[in-house]
Amino acid sequence: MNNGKITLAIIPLSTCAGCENTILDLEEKLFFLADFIDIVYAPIIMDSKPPSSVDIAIFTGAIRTDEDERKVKVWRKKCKILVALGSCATLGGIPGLANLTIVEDLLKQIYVNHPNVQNPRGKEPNLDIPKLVNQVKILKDLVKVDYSIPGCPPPKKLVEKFFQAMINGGEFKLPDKSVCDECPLNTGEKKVMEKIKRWGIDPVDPNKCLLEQGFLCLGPVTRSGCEARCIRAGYPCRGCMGPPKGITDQAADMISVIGSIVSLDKIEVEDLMKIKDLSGSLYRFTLPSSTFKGKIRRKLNG
Amino acid sequence: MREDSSRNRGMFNPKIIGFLCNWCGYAAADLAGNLRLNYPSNLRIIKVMCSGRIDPSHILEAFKKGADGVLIVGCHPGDCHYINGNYRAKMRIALLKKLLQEIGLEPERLRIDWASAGEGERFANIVREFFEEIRNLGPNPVKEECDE
Repeated sequence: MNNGKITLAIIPLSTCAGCENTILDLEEKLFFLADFIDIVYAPIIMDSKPPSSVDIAIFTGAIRTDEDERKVKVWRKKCKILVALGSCATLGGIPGLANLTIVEDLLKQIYVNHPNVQNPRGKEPNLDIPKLVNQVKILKDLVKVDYSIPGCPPPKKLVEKFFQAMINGGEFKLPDKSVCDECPLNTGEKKVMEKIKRWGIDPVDPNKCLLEQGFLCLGPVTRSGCEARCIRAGYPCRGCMGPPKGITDQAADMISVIGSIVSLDKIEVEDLMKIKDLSGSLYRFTLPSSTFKGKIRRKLNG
Repeated sequence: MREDSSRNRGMFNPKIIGFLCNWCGYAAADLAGNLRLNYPSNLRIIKVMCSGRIDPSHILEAFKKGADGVLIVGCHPGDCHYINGNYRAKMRIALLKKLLQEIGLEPERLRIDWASAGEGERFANIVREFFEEIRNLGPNPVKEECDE
């Protein structure tokens, strides 16, 4: 407590700073928050020295380097409430897709094999910077997380609700329903997918359910709370809010959804096989928190 | 019948989970038993009402917990007790196989086949074939990771 105010630290891990932007995006509500909350440490917003203890520590970004791991463990001891903000911290997010490759292959591709790189000796730079970990992790795997707010970026409304709960001592809960529940295109009638289409190539009807049209929209297996913002903007849901309550694996359930809505007269198994990059599109934000947490690697000797 | 006894020690004894539909697959297994047909006892049978009931997350969970193979046996196409459950299962398994391939698990570990209630012999053959296939593939790599 600092003059009776709640002290807050916003700590970046491997992040794009979009989550910090969401907090700044609260606009005039920030002034209201400033009466109750004191942001003491937020390197992405403003430079300051890390305090010895805070009430709330908000983490943004995935755990991609060993420095990130260290930070999380140190701050867990320094804070009373640990919050994972954004898809990366709660589910793995876009950096989590790195789990489909191996770190050595990745570095070799970037520094040696890339067509734009001239590196005849095949040497990788040996700098004194944090090392990449073999597998991107989520905060829950390392420490106890008190609150999770998914979303890429997290919806403003949820962030606002969270701060209000912290100030008033109320309860903060994520919505349990799926994006379809909030979707303006959902008519509530039975859906039948008669064709498989690719986004960006096939024409889109903006007033018809995207799944019904044949586009891969992850709405049915994604947590609500975002008010279907992507669909309102004319783009299919990509699943950034992660699975709703009761679903463990977004990709598996999406496969189940596709199996349930395809028209058996008009779609053959071969048509389904044409869907490109299944793991990338169904696990886009949730690979490190999925059933296998990434690509299954064999032990080399044994 | 093949047993997990000391006689076979050293030989890889796969764990196979079988999701059998109540009306055809399970009835075929029942018949195979009544006919005293031999097939590998590595199959652990779970009865479901329809092959369309099997959620892909059930299968992923089975692999995660260490199953070396998952076998699904439903009614022949067109014979489903619930009109088209087996067609839907076929679609889901095809997509799941593609996902498994991308994630790094051999899609051959997952198999969907059909056997009617009268085809005990066919069911035994499916299990024998699948057992040999899994034995050639070796243990599930996820299990190795879990054991570490």
